[in-house]
Amino acid sequence: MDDPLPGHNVRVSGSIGPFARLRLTGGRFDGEGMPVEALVELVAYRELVVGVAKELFREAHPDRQRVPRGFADSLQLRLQRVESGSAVPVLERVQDQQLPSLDDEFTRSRDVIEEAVAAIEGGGPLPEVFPRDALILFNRFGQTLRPDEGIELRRGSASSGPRFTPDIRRSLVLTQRRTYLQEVDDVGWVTEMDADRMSCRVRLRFGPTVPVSAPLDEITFAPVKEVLEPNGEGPPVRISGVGVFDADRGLVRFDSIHEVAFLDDAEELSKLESRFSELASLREGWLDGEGVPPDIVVLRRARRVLADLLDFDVPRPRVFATLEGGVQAEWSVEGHEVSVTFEPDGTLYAISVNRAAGTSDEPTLALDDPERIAQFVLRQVS
Amino acid sequence: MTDGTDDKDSPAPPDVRLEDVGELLYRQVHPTWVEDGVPSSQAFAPTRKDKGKLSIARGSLIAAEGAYRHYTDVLKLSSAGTWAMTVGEALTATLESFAEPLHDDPAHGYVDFRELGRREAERKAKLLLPHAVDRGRLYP
Repeated sequence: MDDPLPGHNVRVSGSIGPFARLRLTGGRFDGEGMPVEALVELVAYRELVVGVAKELFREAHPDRQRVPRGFADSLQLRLQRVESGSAVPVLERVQDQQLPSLDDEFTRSRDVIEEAVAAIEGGGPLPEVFPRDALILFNRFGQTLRPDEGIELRRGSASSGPRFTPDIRRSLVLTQRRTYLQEVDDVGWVTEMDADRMSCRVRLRFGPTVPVSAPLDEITFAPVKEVLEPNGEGPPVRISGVGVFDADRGLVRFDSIHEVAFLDDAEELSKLESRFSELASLREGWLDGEGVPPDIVVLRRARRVLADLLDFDVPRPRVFATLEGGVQAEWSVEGHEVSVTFEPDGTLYAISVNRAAGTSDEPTLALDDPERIAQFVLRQVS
Repeated sequence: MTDGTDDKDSPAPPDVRLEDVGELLYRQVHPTWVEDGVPSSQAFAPTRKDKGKLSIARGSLIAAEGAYRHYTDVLKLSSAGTWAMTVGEALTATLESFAEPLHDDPAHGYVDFRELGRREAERKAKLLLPHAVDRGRLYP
């Protein structure tokens, strides 16, 4: 058995200052406070630091087969406060006061992680100092980040640091692997179920056309069983979990499923899906010789946003192709004619016309902000 | 070159503004622009090839069925049916309507969008749509 290194099997005592400040930016983090579900990222960050530190220790001690007993426990991080200006959780390190130096594997680990993220952010190669075997650990850290979110890694009391985003995370993981893990939250259909193997196959709205396998557990077994119907013709359900993504092929399977939930608006969603299938079949000149078929990217974007709007209790819109290759969603609500057009150039055009007054409102809305789009439509309803 | 009886080179007579505010203006709507029985507002704005003239058939000269038949059988174009607004309803959207009889379509006319940009035309179309929807599909 390995002996503990001096100082590695420590008792909790006082703070020895900020270890890292992780500034969460974009998306959910732009509001006041810090979403509680983001706490999982702090746990993942600590696991990453410990994992990289282990690799650094092994490299520094080639004569040792394993790290000292209690090595991981010796990194004790406490969330002391969350600073404002985006959410900035401050992780302070507590350690036995008798330890003389902070320049240990954990500090070096923190720094090489930051250097690795900075290198990828700058378009450069992964630094040689970063242990390759630790790259897989980025699968956990950042797994819950959405496309518009990021984590700025600030060491100690530094006022800035590199920004860790889903793209950088993917690049780091894929440096040595073909697949990476990413949270999935989508609507899908259960096509098969294997009770003996506790698994099922699901087809996602925005996933591959072929159903992918997913493990079941005690919690997800019952709802999956309930929605299973022959030929995958059961009602759509909201599926959230962790997906395994191939670098080229996208989602290949689920690593785990957290939840399978019934949809309140399953019928409306089915009608919306059916309408998008019709629009996807349009050909050049679909309007008596005029009309560009809707761009596949525009269709995909519009499908996602309009489905998201149903979650905000926005009525299902009438959906039409535009002659220019866009998609237009229309609502007639409370004396207003409202439309949101997904233009082929990637922009969104929203307009509400008051029928009686003839006046119009044309706010600037972002494509990735269904909540604001929903507010715009619902304001006319209320 | 002409003997005075051939009018091919004569300037076309000016289009006549429609004054009867109650006259129906029939509009054919492409099937792709109808969902749940309701047309898209896009069907009430001219397309690029229309050059600002939204084609209609005048209700004082033809019935909803005749307008549909001419559009689908003679012109061989696709229509989910005939919807309509009136000259007066177009005027409330500050849109004037004109007669523009054609050789094979004496009931032809248009609602004038010629001075409007794309977005302004879209606003106006949204003012025409509810009148057509309230009236419902007139044929078939």
